[in-house]
Amino acid sequence: MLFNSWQFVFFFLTVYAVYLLLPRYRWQNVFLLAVSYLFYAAWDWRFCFLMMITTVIDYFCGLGMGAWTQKRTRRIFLIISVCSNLGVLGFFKYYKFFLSSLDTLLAPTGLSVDRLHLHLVLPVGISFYTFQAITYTADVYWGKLKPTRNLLDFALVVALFPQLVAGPIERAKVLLAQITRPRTIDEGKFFSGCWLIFWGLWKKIVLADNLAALVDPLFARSGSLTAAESYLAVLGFAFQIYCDFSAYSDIARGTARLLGFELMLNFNCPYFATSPSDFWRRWHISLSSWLRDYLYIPLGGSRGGERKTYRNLMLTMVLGGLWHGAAWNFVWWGLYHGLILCVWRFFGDGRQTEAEPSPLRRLGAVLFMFQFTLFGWLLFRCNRVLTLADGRTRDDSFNQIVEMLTSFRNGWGLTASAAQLLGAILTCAVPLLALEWLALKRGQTAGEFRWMPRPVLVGLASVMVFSWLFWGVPYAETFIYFQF
Amino acid sequence: MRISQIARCLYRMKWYVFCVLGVATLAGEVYLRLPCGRQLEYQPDPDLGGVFRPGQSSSMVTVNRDGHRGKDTDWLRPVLLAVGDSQSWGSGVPDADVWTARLEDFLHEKPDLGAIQVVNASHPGHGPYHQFVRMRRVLEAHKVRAVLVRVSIEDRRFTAPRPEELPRLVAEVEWRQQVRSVTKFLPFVVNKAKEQLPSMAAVFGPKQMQTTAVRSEEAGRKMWEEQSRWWERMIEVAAEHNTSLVFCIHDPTDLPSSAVLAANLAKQIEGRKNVFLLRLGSKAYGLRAGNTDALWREYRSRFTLFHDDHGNQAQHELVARTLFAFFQDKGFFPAGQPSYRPQ
Repeated sequence: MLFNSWQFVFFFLTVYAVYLLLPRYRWQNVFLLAVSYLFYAAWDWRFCFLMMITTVIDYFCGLGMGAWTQKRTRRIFLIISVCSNLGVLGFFKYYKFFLSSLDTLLAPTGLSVDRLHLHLVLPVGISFYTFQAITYTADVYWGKLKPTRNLLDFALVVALFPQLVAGPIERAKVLLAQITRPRTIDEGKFFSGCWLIFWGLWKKIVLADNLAALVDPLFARSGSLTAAESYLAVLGFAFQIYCDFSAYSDIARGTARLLGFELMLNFNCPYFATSPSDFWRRWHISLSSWLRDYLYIPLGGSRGGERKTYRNLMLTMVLGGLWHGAAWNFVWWGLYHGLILCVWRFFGDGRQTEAEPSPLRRLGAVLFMFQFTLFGWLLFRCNRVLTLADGRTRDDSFNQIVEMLTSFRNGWGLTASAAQLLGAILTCAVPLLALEWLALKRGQTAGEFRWMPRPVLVGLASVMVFSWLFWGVPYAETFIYFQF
Repeated sequence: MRISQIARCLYRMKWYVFCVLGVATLAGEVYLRLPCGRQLEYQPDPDLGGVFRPGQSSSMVTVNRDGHRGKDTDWLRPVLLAVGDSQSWGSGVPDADVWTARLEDFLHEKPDLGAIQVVNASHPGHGPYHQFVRMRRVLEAHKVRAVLVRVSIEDRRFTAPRPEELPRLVAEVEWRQQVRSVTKFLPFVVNKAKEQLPSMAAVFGPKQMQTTAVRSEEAGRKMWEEQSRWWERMIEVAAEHNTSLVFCIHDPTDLPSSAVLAANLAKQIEGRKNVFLLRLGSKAYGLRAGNTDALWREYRSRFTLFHDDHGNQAQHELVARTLFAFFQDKGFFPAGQPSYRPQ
């Protein structure tokens, strides 16, 4: 059930009407849990059982950690919880990747692991809800959170439908606190929730989906692109993925806000980042903070000397890349971001003597960092898979990356389709960035409307309605991060 | 918050909502009158209900003075006539990239065929009946060397209107013309809303059954029963005017329903002079073998517009090349003699 589909519109209107009629927050919790499982079952009902099983395991592990004070016993419960979550994630997501890579490795020897291949379907949202569940057991283990004695409350933490499928990866502590008390929805929350949903839908239907129509054909013929076309394709993808993913997060936050929940901000003007570490404080904040708190810091963080810090950084970013998908291009993307983080740290992590950089210097830093971000997106997007004569598939992303990087061999000029993409980028990206910059100056985000003067708000909404009518993609297209 | 409180909140915001809708409406009215935003207008037609008004253009499409797609036709020069639906019309594709324009380009590469014109008399929403009417009108008025008819199971919904329905259809077009003379934005919004009705209905309906229904042999048999008489009449009219006729079946995913149509059409044209059947199956499209769903996915990603099932430039190019090769193979254009019948 996509957010940008009529199915979801009817679903949410019905759910919301019933939700508001329920007088007690406990009844609302039970109702939300039921509709969240219904929402998930709309994708594939079989995986509801998988989510139920991991939820029950995590719940009892939490109770176990609460009942036992010995560190060793508590660690066993933590290991059971982490292993069950990462086990299902690893099995469904990485089993095929592992076998394909093993096949490639064994190919020269004539051996094959073909017989071990299974036809597995990736459960939607598994990367998100397993990580979210780990925040619960990890926080209980560290004593930051008391284990809940209410299975339904915990099940709702895992399954809450606005953020179930593609995040934000909320902290169980934060969600649990909101679930276990009455929620108020005032006029301000109602309108800001509606605006966030409208804003997110507009970014998806008008910006992201139209950019996708222009970007995908270019990546499909990466071998014949000119240098200008390659650059524009990556630039277009940078805005496509930002609009697509931030749109989902905005709709999720808006929907949750209408229900009285506050989910964390997932994007904070990432393309205004001035350094690699700044980028990760702005892009997919829920994942980057999860990786920091549950992987990087437990590995030792920056406490074990420079070499260990670099090791921890690389490991965290590689695993973060791998989280996105079972393919080598994601590993390279993670490696790349780990590398630039390490290099940035080596050169002083931007520690400056002056209090605030000048606007010109800041602009230079933003543009410079943006080029590094673009290169990362090139690695991320190149995911070509070749089908061999015997029907097997082979990862060809490396060759695709090389083709794009050496596209200058095909010349430097623009074709009509690339010129069209340039026009679309200028039309979509420039106003969006301008709006974000204005919001940033006021300490706000573009998805909140309170900082805008009313005439500006009316004008912006008119432009959104107009562009939606004329250029909105009429069919519900999936969100990019659903595949993760 | 209660539902009544929400209703009061929304009521308090009514002026903002009116302002937003008002500004968007004004912007829409202006945009739809600009060359870049212009929509094609219809005019009433006593036999077809409504067709595109001749002599207009939008950002990508030109409708010539005969009501056909593309530039004006010089009827004194040799003509190949194409009739079909929106796929054949080239929805979503600029004039120069439509298969008829590309076929004309390929023909012009031959030294003796520089004068040939490929006229696109297709029209969105037209099935066999409408195509027969368009074809007959042209053949009665002009000399045409060959007619190319697109046949597709997708056209099963475009049935012939009953005679008593035609006045109503004409009145509808006239009413829409009147509305559009006052406001262009309102009909645009109404059309956009109508576009969403199938998606809204699909929320409550058995969508999967619809997909499998069109593939079945039963669907092909049903279409044959309902529509075959128009193809027969096309054959008769073409014979009357001594014109070759090529039925081109578009079946990129090798559907059983299309196989039924092809088999029946092949029987129908057996022994008929100057009537040909060409089938564009998965092999012609260069699609890898697989089940129907796999073929559809590959076809969709390679040969259709991104957010639309209509053919993209690659599909139009392929169709034009295939037809050009077909003409050469059948000896339609022997060297030195511009002839449009096989030797």
